[in-house]
Amino acid sequence: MGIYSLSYKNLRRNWWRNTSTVLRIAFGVIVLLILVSSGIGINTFLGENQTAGGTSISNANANTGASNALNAINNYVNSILGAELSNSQIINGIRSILRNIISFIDLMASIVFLVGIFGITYAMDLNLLERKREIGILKSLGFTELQIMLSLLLEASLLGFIGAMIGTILVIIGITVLSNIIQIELFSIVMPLWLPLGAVFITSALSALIALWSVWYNTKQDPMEALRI
Amino acid sequence: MNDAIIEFRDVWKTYGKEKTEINALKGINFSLKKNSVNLILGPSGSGKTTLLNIASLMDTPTKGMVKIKGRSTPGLSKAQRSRIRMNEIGIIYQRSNLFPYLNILENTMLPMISPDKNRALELLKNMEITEINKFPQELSIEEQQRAALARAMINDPSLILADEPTGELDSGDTDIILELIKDIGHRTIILIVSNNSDLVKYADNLFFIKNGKLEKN
Repeated sequence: MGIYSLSYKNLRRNWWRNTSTVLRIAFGVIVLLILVSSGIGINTFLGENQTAGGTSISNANANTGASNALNAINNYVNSILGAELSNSQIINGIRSILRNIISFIDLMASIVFLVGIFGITYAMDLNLLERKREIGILKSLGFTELQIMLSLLLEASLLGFIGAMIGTILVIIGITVLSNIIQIELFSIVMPLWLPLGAVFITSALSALIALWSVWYNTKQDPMEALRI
Repeated sequence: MNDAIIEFRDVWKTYGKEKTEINALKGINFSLKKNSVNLILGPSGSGKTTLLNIASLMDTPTKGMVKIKGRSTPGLSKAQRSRIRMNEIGIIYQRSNLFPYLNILENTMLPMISPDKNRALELLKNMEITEINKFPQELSIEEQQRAALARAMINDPSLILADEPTGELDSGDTDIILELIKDIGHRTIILIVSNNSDLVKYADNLFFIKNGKLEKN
C-alpha cells in the first residue's frame, strides 16, 4: 500500500463524478476519432494520403466504380448548369469542396478536444478542492510534495486513459459494424493503427498535463492550513 | 554525549511584520530523551500547535535551532524534512485523519517505507484492533484513534507527536488511548500538547506554555 495506489482508490471513491468525466472524455474521443478518421478518409479520397489505403479520386480512371461515379457526377452537373465541364475540372471542384470540409472537420475536432480538456480540468479541480485536507495529512505522514504531485497526476492520467480506451473501443466496434452493414466504396472512414493508439496515449498524457497547474497549486499549499479544514 | 531525541534551542516563531507582528513562540528551550511521555499543557492560542508543527518539521522557526536525533534541521529542504518526518516522527491529531476510502489495514500501511503486512498486523493486534478490513467510518472514534496510533508507529519512529489526541473522546475512551500512549512512550518518546489537565497523571515530564513561553514543572 503506497501513495500511488491512492490514485485508483480515489477514482473509485468519487464514482459518479469520475464516471461522468470518463464518459465525457470517451464522448470527446469518439467524436474526435470519427472526425479525424473521416478527414483521413477524405484525404485518401483526394489522393493526398497514400499511407492509409482506400480509394483515391486521382486514380478514378483506373477504378471502374470511381470512374462511373465521376462520369455520373459530371453529366449531372453539366445538365444542371448547362456547361461543358471536363472530368478534371469536376475533380478540382470536388477537391476544393472536400478541402473546405476537412478544414471544418479539423475545427470541429479541435473544439471537441478543448471541451474534453476543460472537462478534465473541472473534474480534477473539484477532486482536489475536496482533498486539501488529505494533501495536508499526506505531508504530515512524511510524503514529499513530489510524491503527492505524481500520485495526483497519475490519477488525472488514469481518468484520461480510461475515457480514451472506452471511446476508442466503441469507435472501433462502431466502424467495424457500420462498414459491414453499409458498404460505401468511395468515401471511407479510414482508421490507421496509429490513430487509436495515439488517441489513448495523447489523451492520457494531456489529462496529466492539464491537471498539472491545479495539482501543483494544491500541493504547494501550507499543510497546517490544510489540516485545520 | 547528548542523547536527546529532540532539542529546541531558543526557538522563536513570529507571524506578521512590524505593527502586526505576533510572537507565537518566544525563545523555547527544551530537550527530550528516550522512553518518556512528555506533556505540554496550555490554553488555546498559547503556541502549543505552533510548537508541535515546528517539532514535526512541518513548519520552520523564525529564529533558533531544532535538532532531531542530533541533526540540525534549519536549512534542510522540504523534501529532506519530509524524509525525516517519515523515518523518525509519527504524528497523531485530535481527529484520526484516516483516509475514509482505505480500510484500516491499508490506512496503517500507507506510510510504510518497506511494506510489511505482518508488521502492520502485529501493530494493529497490539492496539487491539481486529476488524482490519473495515473502513474508518465503520469504527468508533476511539478505535479510529487507536488505528491512527498504529499508523503513527508503523515506521518505528524515534518520536511520536500528539496534538490534543483525546480531544474528541469521552473520559472512558481517553483513558484507553492514554494508557496505550503511555505504554508506547516508555518504548520510544512521546510529546503531547493539550489543554486537558486530566492528562497530567500519564506524563513523566510536564511543561506549561503560556503566551509563547515554556516552563518546566
